[in-house]
Amino acid sequence: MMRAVRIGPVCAPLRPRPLAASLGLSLCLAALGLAALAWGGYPLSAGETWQAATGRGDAVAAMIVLEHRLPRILTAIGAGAALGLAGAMVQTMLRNPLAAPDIIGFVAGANAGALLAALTTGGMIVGGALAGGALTACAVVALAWRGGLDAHRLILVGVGANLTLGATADLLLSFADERTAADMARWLTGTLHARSPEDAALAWAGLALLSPAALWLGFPLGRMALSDDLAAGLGLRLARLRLAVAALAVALVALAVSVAGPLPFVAFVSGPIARRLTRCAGPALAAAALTGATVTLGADLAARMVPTFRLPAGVFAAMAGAPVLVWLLWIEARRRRL
Amino acid sequence: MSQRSMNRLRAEEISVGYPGRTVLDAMSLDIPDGKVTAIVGPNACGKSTLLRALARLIPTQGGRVLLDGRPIEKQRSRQVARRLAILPQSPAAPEGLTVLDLVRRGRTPHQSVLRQWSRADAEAVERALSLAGLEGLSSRMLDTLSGGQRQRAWIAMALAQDPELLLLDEPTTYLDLPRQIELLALIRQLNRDAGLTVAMVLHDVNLAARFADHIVALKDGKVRRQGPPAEVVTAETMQEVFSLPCTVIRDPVHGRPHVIPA
Amino acid sequence: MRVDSAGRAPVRADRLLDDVSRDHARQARRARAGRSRRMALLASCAALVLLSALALRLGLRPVGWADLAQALIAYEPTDPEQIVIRELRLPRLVGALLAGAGLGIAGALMQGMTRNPLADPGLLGINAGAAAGVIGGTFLFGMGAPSQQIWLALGGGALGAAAVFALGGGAQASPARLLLAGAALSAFFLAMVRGLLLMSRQSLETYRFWVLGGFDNVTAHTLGALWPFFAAGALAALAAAALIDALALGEDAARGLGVRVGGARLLAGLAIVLLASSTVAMAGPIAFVGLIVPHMARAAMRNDMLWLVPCAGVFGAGLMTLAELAGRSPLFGGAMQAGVMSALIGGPALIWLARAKEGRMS
Repeated sequence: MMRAVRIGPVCAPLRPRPLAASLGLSLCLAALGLAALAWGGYPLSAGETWQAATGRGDAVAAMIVLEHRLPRILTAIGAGAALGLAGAMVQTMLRNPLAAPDIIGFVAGANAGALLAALTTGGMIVGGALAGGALTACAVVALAWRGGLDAHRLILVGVGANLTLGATADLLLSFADERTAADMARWLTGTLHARSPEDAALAWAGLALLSPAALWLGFPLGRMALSDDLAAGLGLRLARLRLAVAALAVALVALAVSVAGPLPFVAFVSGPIARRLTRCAGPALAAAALTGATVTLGADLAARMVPTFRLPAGVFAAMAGAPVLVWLLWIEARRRRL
Repeated sequence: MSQRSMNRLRAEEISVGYPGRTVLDAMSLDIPDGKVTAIVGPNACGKSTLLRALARLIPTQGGRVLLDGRPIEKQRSRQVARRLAILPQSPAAPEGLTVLDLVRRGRTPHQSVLRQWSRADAEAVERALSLAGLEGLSSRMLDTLSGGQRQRAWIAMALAQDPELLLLDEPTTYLDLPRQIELLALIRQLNRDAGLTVAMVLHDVNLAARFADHIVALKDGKVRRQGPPAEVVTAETMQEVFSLPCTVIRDPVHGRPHVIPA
Repeated sequence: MRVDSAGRAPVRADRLLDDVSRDHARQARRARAGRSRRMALLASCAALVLLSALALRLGLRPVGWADLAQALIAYEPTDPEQIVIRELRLPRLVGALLAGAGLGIAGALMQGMTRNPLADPGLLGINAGAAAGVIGGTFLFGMGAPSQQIWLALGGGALGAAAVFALGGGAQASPARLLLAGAALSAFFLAMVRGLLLMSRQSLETYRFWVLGGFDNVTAHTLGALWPFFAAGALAALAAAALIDALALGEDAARGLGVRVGGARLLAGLAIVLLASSTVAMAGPIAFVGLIVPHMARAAMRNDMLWLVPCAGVFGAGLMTLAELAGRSPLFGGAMQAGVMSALIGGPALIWLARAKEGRMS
């Protein structure tokens, strides 16, 4: 009835549909990545790109490909994958498709922290954002904790914190002078402009460190989608699990924010798209990470293709992700009606 | 009940409540091994709370629940889940789950992140599906099943857990009479064939009398009567527990007591 | 989203019976609770009247009680104090009251219909549609006058909601799918608006002015044009309230009670669209109020739509007026957006509510 794959001590069920979906997403991501290497203000042919990437082309092409485009692409993939993972995990944990990781207050806290840092010190935006986000997330979890993390209470406290901090950020923004305000507005939209190889390295190192934990949690998460009583009856310790998921989601979002700013929408959209592509009821973490990476890279590519206005990638995240999700929902609704 | 040999699942003086309300007050109870126990009682008497406390789903404020002689909350939850399965009232599943998906999740306590699927899992799932009579339906979406089929899918999930004790909270709700009989017969057959210890909350005293070996009658969070159906299902007990004036006759087919409300 | 295995309501007949019998035992307490609910509603109405009077009196130019009473009863169009009240403060107050009540009611319906505590009227695509309408009108046809903006926003909001309904699978769709479609489409529209703004300076100027919204520009003319929509929305909301209560028992139970599920959702959707898009048209997009107020109302009224709808209306009007008053106070430079203020007041209140509710949460 179900085939299993066995690699050493690891043994996992083999499901054709999620595997095919992940494969398709990977191909899509690879194609986008190659396109992003070749396209841009200094267009290169496929052959030139290849030569530049292998270090045999002319110096200008090599510099553009290796020092500008490649780090940017790698950062986009890393940040997008982290956001996709975090989103799918939180949505599954709270059993609410609207519950993006923002619900733990991280993004609102990060924005307020970044603004505060920019206003008081004039710099340290990323540091302020990380500190603000982490502090808020801790505060929200602590406020919602009562002998365990009730999903409903966490959602309410998170919404409250988001609203308060969002309004605080607006308030802070109104105190800032025009230049700072414009800079901050840009940062708050999320941008991948001019990423350095260090950014890319940070994104990938963080992802390499955190994704094993995410995969580890994926197993109980799939069971948490049932009701609390059923999950507890199956031997899961819900309080501990929820805490672990929240902590990991915060770490992942922090990673993404530190390299790309608070890119909106990616974390929200990846989980639902991945679940519909894989047609599985679980969290579909691998597919969600790939979806997040694809959406982010696609958004950044779109942002680069409208060069005159220098739009930040954050604007395009919704344009790249929303139609896909709506289309999938539309198909699903029609299939159900038939 | 004063049994010498200790039963595997027992409650000792447990008090359970929600904020502002005590539901069970220092209740002691044994679930006899190898038998089908039915817990009956009027609405809001604490039946479901008792079952949830026995399955460590709700913490006790006083006393303790013992599984195999050790306090249940001191044992690893996963280890408990390998021996004891519970099917709560109105279980909920996410949208878009197939029967097979659901039943597979019953294997959770036997799996780990590294060993997510094994031959034993496949066999247990297959056995559970066939015991519940769901072989042909395993790829159907849960939300396209009839009420009876869905209930059997949930039971199959609990069976896939490979438990030695099975706790069920009103498993027959939603089902028509033939489906209720079918399900209870299945549960009793599991008990007879596989030696499964069953404890279930039932609404219908007549069905409890017909299928259970042991009946526990609760009222206001206290055990009022317990014992074999013939001893518990009497006109006096019905009056005492349910405030129901009635006549109790011997069912001429199965020889079990049968309540006829006045 | 919690949907049971059938994708239907997670409420079961025997649960209800249990509740009913428990209620029987507590009937006395229930009766008291009913009376206290009525008292709570009456008390909040009284508080609202007091707050309104305060809002009329306070401001850069303080006005005495006598002038206030006279301006309301026997308006003397030559007295500068009375002109301030009648021409400036009264429309502003009525605007805030209407907007708050409209958003509160729309939010209560939205959360009740979708059974999702995160649902907000904006998620039906109304705010995004209105923004797209205003910017599209400015960008394509050069319609930037405030009187035109009202209709652009109203039309855009309604169209946005219609698109969400259609793409989310219509009135028969599961609430989860509707919300996802709404959230995705809203994000899409807003991203389009942002893109347009960065491409056209004129649109940016119009938008900046419009998105700040607020009640300073609400005139008697605006109110006169929009009140029929508010009234129709409120009526539709009251009519839909009982139907949503039935829907909360599950679609099947609702059908058993003779409720047409699709029709009920459509009616509730109509009420939400009417209320929320007239609010957007009047005062620009005000986020959060529709999200917070229903939670506050539920804490006071429990989950009974017939009570919840009027209560959410009163609470919303109160919160909006309070936020508007606070926003005009010198503490915040005298011109803080009412939307931001209401989030600043409502956010902590929500956290407090969530913590105050003991145990019985699931």
